[in-house]
Amino acid sequence: MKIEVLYPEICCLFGDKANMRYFEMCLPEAEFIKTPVSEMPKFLTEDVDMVYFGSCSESNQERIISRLKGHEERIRELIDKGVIFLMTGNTFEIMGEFIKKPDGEKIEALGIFDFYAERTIPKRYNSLFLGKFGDMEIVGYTSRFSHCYNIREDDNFLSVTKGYGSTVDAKTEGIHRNNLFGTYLLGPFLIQNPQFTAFLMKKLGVENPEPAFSKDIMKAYEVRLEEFKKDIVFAE
Amino acid sequence: MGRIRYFIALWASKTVYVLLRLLKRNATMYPGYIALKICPDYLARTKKSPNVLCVTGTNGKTTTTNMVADILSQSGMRVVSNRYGSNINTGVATALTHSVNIFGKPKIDALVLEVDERFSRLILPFIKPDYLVVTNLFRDSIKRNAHPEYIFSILDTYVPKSTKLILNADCLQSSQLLKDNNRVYFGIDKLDTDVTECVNLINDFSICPDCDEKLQYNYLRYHHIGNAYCPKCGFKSYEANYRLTSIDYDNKTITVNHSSVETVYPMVNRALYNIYNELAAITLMSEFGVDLEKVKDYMNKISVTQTRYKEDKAGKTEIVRTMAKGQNSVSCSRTLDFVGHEDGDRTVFIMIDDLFERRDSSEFVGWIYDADCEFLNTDGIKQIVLAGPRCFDYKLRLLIAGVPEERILCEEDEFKAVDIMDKDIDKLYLLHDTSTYDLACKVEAKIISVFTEVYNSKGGEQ
Repeated sequence: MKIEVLYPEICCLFGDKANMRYFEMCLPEAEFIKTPVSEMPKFLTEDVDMVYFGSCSESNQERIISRLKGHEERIRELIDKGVIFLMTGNTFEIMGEFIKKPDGEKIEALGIFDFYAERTIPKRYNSLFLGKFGDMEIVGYTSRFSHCYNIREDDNFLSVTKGYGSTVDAKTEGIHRNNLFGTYLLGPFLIQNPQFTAFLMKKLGVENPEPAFSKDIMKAYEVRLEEFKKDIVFAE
Repeated sequence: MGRIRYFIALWASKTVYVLLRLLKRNATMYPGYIALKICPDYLARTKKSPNVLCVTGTNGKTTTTNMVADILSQSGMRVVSNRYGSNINTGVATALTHSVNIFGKPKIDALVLEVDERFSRLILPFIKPDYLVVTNLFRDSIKRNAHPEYIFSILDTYVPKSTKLILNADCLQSSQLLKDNNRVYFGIDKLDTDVTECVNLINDFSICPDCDEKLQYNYLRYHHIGNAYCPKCGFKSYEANYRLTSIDYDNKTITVNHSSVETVYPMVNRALYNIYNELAAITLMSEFGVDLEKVKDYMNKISVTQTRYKEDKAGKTEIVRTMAKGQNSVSCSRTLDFVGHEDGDRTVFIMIDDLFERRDSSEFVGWIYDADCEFLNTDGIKQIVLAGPRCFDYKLRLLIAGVPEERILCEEDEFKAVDIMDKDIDKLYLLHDTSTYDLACKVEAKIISVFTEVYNSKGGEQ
């Protein structure tokens, strides 16, 4: 099992780095390849089972787009083949048509999905999140300078119970196609959502998946879930 | 019209201050808030004192500002500072109110201001500091500060071109600011404890800004603090004009070399991050023209404020209460590094939940995965007490850091945690957030009382 962690030196804001560190503990037999920004992604030339991108700054989003431009067909091929892509924070925006800056300038993105993103700098949007993926209750947090518009109905990832979706008012959050999962939720997403972690482990071929530190991870999840279901402030 | 409005704002601000003081309120923000409400360009309109010195950056602002204000006060200057108040525009406006008389004329010699880096765009263009210290730029609260590049862009845009910068040569982020401004750099020479590969979880300046190549370090202290170069294109760290050449922990002194002259100063605090703060203050004072021999004397009378660091004793146990700012992974990591590398058997009591968040919301704890909790995975730390509603998240973080479960005590109620923790220990470190300071003082009082009682009940010996 081969998992590529892309550009960990720049895709590492807000605690996102912990996702793959924790996933390594869940999958001790798997090979984790960390590809720096000065190198071409391994998935372009090798078979991998999963690719992970964490949150990054706006300028690094543009840096990543410039690195991956010209390889759109390969990325499409991998998505169609069922390779898992997990993108937390703002990185999934690179998969859309373009990112619009506050001054109106449009940065052409990879165009693999139809949506576009619009930056709101200096206005930052912070929100807790409670939603669903199938039967799973998903908890998390978003903090960002942008929103996504025009996501196709069948490309949505999560349904929103409370908190911001792909826009402030959207009832859906993130993108999902085949085994690609992109979400604005950031930080230790896999640690905070053990059911989703087990779901990914199963997708990777683990028969009876049990996330590492399962007793403690479930306790923290349950405490948070209970808290999020109460009448608390979700967004400022 | 603007002038009349300004004076109404000034008088209202002064009146509000007096009234709040009569009510025994600290009045550090509201007088400025009123002034800005009445006169939005209050900061620009207020006549400035002859010298305006500001300090900004992610970490070390308060300590550095306090040192500078203390030194200048000791030198006989009349100083106004926002040291006990807010570092955003309203707090600065309050300080400005104090700096002038009722006719709007400056009544002091120097204005020493701590300036919040994110709010600097609302402050610095209007008060136009003569000197600005930027202590460093790191990750901070995700909600407020987003990421270091964002804060860099604010400072790079809004610091006036006329301001002389005092920059940290060892901070690869902040040292790149405003390359056209007049500037001097301070830095610490290679230390025995330095490394060449980052041991911290976070290094926000690991690739060359010009060519993306991985930077090489001549020496690396923590995170991106060190001396780096790019093996591909020649990019490198700036050289320091004020170099700290040696640290003598036994005699509690530091030696600073400037223009080939070495001066020995008393060490105000032995934590490396506070040594950086002291060096920043010395550099500013030297550039400002204070006699360095006198700075030495003044430094002897300075201590780091007790809200940040305090030592006490309860029975046989030394109690150290120290700030580990929540939501600020780097600041917290500095404290964890300090506590992790101390000598002797010790307990670490952690209560760094954000109290404001927990009142009516839930704190984002992603930042704890950027904090170097791995420093706590050491045999000398016999017990780690995790107290507060987020204790289950912290426990998970420590397990991922490799801390054995039997060393972790998890308790949502901070006071109950004191009752059930081990008490037979030489040293206890109580780590708290800014928001839990008052609560931490109460917990500390309980710790001292309980530990002393246990010690006395055993006849003064355990």
